[in-house]
Amino acid sequence: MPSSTSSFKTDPLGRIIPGQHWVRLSLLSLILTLVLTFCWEWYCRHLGYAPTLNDTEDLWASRRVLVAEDPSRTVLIGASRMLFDFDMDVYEKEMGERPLQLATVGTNPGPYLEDLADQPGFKGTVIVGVVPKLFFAPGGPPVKSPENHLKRYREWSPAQKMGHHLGMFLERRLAFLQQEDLTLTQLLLSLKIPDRPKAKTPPELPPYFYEVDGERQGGMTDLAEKDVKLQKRIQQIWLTLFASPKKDGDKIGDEKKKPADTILENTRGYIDKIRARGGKVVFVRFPSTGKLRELEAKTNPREKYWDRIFEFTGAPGIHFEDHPQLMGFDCPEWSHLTKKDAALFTRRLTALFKELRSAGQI
Amino acid sequence: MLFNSLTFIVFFLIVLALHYTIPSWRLQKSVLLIASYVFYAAWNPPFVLLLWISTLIDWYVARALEKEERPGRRRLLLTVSLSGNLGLLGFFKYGGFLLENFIALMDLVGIEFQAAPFDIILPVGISFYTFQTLSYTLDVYFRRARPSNSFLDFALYVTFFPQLVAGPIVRAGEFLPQCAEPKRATRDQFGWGLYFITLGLFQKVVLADGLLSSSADTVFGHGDGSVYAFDAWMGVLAFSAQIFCDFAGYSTCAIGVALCLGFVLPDNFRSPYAAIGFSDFWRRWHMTLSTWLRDYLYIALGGNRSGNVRTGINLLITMFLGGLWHGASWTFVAWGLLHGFYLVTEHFLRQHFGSAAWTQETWGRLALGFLTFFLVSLAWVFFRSSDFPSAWSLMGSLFGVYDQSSQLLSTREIIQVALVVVGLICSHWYLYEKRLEHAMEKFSAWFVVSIWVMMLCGLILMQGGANAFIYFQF
Repeated sequence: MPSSTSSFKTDPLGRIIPGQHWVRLSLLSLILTLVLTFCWEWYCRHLGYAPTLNDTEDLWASRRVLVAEDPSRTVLIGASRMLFDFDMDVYEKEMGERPLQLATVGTNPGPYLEDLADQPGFKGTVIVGVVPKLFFAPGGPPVKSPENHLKRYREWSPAQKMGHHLGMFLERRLAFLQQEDLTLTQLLLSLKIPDRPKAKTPPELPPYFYEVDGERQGGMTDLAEKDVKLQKRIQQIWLTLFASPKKDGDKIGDEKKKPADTILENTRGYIDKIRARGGKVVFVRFPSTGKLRELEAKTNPREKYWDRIFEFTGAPGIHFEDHPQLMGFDCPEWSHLTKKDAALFTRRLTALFKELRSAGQI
Repeated sequence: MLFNSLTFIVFFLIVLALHYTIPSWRLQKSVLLIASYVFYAAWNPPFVLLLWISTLIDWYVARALEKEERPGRRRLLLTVSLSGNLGLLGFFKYGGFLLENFIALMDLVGIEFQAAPFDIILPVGISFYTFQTLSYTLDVYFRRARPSNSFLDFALYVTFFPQLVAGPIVRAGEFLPQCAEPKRATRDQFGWGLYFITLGLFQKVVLADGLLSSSADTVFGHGDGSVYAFDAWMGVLAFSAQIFCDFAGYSTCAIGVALCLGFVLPDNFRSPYAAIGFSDFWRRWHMTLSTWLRDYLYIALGGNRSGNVRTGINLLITMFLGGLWHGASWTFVAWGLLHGFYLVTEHFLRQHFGSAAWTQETWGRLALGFLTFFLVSLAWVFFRSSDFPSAWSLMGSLFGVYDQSSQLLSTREIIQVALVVVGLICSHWYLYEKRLEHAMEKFSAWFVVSIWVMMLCGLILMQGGANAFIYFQF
């Protein structure tokens, strides 16, 4: 090919096109794929799934950016109990301000607290949900997950922001777009192929049994609230997860300094930073029930974990077992409240927040 | 912007719409250039400046080289281009590595040296576009080509978004002539381009990310003691397949995207896991990088023209730098040198045993093919491991040197890895002497549609969770 704009000689770079009518084939493939996708969507809805947002790192980042915009907002951090059991509408109605939900499932809130402590000018109130097993986790997935969320927020590119908005548009319309339950990987996991007797495979994680909205207001799905079989399955998963081998962070009574002490000292440092700017921090222990509560009491006794947080930090805390109005709630799968109970629990919790506020503690 | 993202789908649809509605070829190219900058800026806007610097340096240096006759001035101009491009690459990619090694060296001689932390983000694709623009200047310097007359064409050559961030590394002689006349894909080119995009995404999203990555991550990320030999092997095989599906997937997508716009990009992979020997492997793996290293480094060093010892040294130097190109870490260097050692050994063996009859028989070729795959997979251990202790520990696990070891993989993961690896090797053997295009011609339309639908359904079922391509970090 003679070149009018380039003096570079032409190399014989060509590409063979196989002898098929490729546009016809692509259209046929597209139509068949759309039909199969429609059938899959119908089947998923038939199983009880409804369109809902995925609780992705992008969704979290979209909430985290708001802290910088309004550094005096109330921020919620913690694990899934904070995400499920705290009703933001009720809190807003009772306390007069809308909090930001930054809690994520299965996580140690330490990295989030550190991030808020390092946020220039942040002077809001941080409500920290405490699940002792996770709060004192020295590493592994409970720490890696918040680190990944923070990394996404810090490196959130324009392409990822746009992808997030497009993703939400589709997720609000299609039930099969549930990453926790209906991806190919999850479907393969559900095959339940027996493992070798000595295989050290990771524990099974609970299926998708909660949903979030655009503000990350979480809550148990209708399916999980009603399906007793699913609840029992999740209960057994909690027992395995909470009974997993002890980590170094559990050895609080030992002589030498342990990761738990380091975690507590770090927490105190973060709280001091926030307080120095006029911010407040309060800890909350949400309800758990049944055999899970018994297991938690055994593996993470209150005096060695919950009580020590206050010895170290001096921050206020509300434990559901210290207040009769917070007790008696039923967690269908032993670890989280239903949406209705979450609203009631939050209303009672905010009454206690008001007391703390009038005492100048938050 | 990742090919496997919703953002890219929207971006690509807009680019296609503009490309096929704008009547002027010059305007079409301008749109492609702007789209390429948007594609890059969507990742990190300030780094577009680096693209502009690289483009301007090589544009002006090449034009000056064309006019300049004095050897000294020509060398000076070449030095400007090399130091400009390699300076940027060195600063962003190797700055921290050099500082780390300098501190270690100072420690060794007893001098305590404290340096400020070197927290620089690596601009995505910098290794790829640096090599691409360098090849242009080097070709002009060696009078193998004359510089482009059109700045627009040249800027598009440097920035063309399908291959900008992870290759294939295109030579100016392959791309610039394509800018001479309007490019519109024919009906079948467009459809075949879409098939390539689907195939590339399937390799990346379903095979690499969905079926292989967790097994590779589990085995390579096991920091606590040794791994059961069987699991170690499955982890290494998972990574062998993962890195191919990830990188070949990107290249296949890039070729498909370019084809939909009417441009042709060179192949980057051709059934590498069926290679018989390491020179064959490097003719089939990351072909545009290996030919770049061959043409601008190995041959510049003297190639095989100065005897066996010199050939061996040249191979080792080339593979050393090839390893370093992949990342600022001694583990990448070890991987490169190991491949250099493989190539030198093969060179020696070919001279002495190359004519043996058994090497031409089917069973002999099969045995050599499996030996090559085995040794290539072993080398991936250094490539994937975060440091040498981890690499040696995994090597020990592979050969069962530990008494106590952990079985890390579930039966499901083992089945997944085995199926994908066996499928991959079989497909590579099947395509050893033919291209995918030739194989596709033999298939019936219904078979092609079935495969296409299966791949699209796989992609829809994998949904979301876009992971960056492994080669973005290089």
